[in-house]
Amino acid sequence: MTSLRILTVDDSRTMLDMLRAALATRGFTVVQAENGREALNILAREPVDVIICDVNMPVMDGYTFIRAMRQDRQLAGLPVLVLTTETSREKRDEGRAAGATGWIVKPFDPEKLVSTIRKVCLQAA
Amino acid sequence: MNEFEKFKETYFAECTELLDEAGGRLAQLDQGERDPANLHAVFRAVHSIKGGAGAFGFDHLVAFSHRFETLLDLMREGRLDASETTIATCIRGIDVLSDLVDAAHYGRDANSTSHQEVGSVIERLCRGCSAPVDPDVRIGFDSANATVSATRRWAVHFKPHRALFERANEPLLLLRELCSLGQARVMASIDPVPPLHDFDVLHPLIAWNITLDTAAYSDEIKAIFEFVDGDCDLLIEEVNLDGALRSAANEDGVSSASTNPSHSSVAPLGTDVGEVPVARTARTGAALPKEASTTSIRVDLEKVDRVVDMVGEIVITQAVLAQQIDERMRDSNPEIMRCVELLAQQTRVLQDSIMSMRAQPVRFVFARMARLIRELATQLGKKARLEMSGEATEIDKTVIEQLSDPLVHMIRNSLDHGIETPERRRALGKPEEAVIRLSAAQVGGRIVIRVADDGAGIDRERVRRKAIARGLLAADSNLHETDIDQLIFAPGFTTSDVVTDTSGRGVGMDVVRQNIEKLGGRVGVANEPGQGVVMTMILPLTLAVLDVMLVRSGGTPYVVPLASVIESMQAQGAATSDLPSGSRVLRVRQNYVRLFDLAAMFGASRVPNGDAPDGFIVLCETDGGRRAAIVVDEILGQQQVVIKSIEANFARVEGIAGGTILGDGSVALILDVAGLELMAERRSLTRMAA
Repeated sequence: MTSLRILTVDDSRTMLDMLRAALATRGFTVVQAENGREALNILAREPVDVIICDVNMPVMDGYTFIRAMRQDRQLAGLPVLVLTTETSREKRDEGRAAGATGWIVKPFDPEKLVSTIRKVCLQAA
Repeated sequence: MNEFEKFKETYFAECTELLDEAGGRLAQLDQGERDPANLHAVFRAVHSIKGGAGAFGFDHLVAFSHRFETLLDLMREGRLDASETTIATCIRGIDVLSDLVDAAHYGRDANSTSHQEVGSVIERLCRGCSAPVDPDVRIGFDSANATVSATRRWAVHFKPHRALFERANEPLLLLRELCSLGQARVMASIDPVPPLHDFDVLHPLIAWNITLDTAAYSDEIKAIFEFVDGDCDLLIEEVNLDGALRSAANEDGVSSASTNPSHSSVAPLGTDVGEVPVARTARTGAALPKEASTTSIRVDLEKVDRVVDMVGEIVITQAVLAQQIDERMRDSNPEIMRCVELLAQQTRVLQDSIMSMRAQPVRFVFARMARLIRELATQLGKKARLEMSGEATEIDKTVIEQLSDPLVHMIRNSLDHGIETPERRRALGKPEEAVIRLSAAQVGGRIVIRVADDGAGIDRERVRRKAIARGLLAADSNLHETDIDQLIFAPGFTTSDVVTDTSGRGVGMDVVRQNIEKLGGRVGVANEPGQGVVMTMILPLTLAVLDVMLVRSGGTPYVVPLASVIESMQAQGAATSDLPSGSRVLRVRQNYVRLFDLAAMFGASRVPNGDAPDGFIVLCETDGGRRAAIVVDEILGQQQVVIKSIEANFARVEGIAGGTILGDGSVALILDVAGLELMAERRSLTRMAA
């Protein structure tokens, strides 16, 4: 069985590394991008099963990225989880309005992270 | 601080809140409130702590909370009785957990003895009830957790909207997760599905009806649909196992009539209410118990304080405005008058609401005392229980934080000195188990907190002897009984001959009194020998507003915190005398009190007024219990003022604790009585040196 490919998008290196640490040890293949533009470039090149994406990023922010994805017939069906903090209800709603599938609350617990991925990704379940 | 460290800090802050919450819930369970919601909340708290601990790699914390969680889960499922001993173990578990959290936070070692001890008790309890449930009771759709004992039956109606698919959510995954909670029968209604050539992938046609037998509560079911909230029709109702529908609201102990529109806005899954007529009550009702957690936000205290400050300013501006409007304007322009009155009203409401944001129920502090009493009593071989009342009373967060130490002191004293051994109590005809009553109530603008016990009371003869031995009291003094009781607040007083772990470190009640006075409060004692002691603390509702006496000296207004004023008198005819050092004293009954002339101290000259040519004397008591008398020209009255820092805006000024703005817009300085004393001390020293 090929392992599930997860694209993580965040401008913070620390966050990207934490996500990689949490996911790689649980058998997922992790691809990294530092902003929405870079993420779209990666998606044009290689297949991905789930996307985990921050909101505030330079060059192209998370909402713009998700909206662009949902416009693209090839990518519209991909589940996207946005990274939010517990308190930012509006960001969550904004993310949903842009087309996000769900959200992950920071600081995340690796087990919860994986169960959230299973919750939105058929291939992972 | 890098991002990772910031997450960690947030996590620890959350842990503190979760532990408090869990402690409070356990205290309620301990008091016999066997509401399943309490157990559930404790479970959630421990679960969240475990989750975060895993993310940060705190292995001890993960291991312990995992065991603890297992125990709580068994209790939640009803497989382990929530007996007194089990709950006592849980309370100790929370202690260990909080020790482990602290250890992880500050990088120190945890108390491994209690950790292992409680851990093994938990293990034993868990092992005692590992009887598996008959696996043959599965129904229909495959269930991963078939061994979970079903205690509830839920009827779930789920119909996705187009938006659910547009956001790439997958109904199949949701249904699978739902099935993992217990035994489920899933029925799809496929009547509206058109022939293939008319089929639109994104257009939702299928609705599902699921019957779920599970131990899970409605909020666990709702959590599954968290991401699709608003993107589907969802109805979750509890069905009696014999088949009759029961509203989820009743299950959670909330009145089913909660169709209040303000609540329907927080119902997490409300969509198309009209379509399913029975939906409304169940949805809104079931959402209520979770309301507190789902609709609250975490705000930096500093931000709240900025608003508190600003509201204080508005209160002052409003007062200035009201004063500017004189009689003539009142008559000529009633509209302005109406607005000013309305503004006054609204400002009051605004002030109350912002104060309530900083307020927290005293329950959190009280609940901690239950544990203290239990443990201390066992340690001392005594029997005592806690009774609480008014624990929902809310007080400013800062005051709450300062409340714990005084309460601990008082309760320790009570158990150590006041409450008799069970044998002695029996001999006296009292019930063996003593009662310590903690009560809180709001009286006017203040909070009154009482700690009452039904012990032996304060032994006055012993207190008198001790006070004489410690040089706090002259051997021949003839004090009134109630004055003897007050001696327990004297600095350095302790009746314990041996320093014990419990009390008697000699830093007892005088420290308590100082701390309470620092908060602008007072503490008193009522002693009924043989019947018990009642300690009363009177605290301000908030620290931002101060009750003061407004005085004038040398044409300048000053305010004296009312908590430190003992009495005031006319200076004319008062027994004052000059000392050779140049200072003056006032004779108050048997004592001499140093006299300060405010005008002279701050370099102004006195402005005599007709009624009292020599002015007035305000007798004050400082933090340390010392007295000082202040000479002023006039006493203008009492009022509440908003405290402004002088230090933050200008620099520290000796003898002045802060400033405030009066109704007419002028500034008045808040006197620091202890500071005045120091100032005078220094001046007379300089004078003597010259």
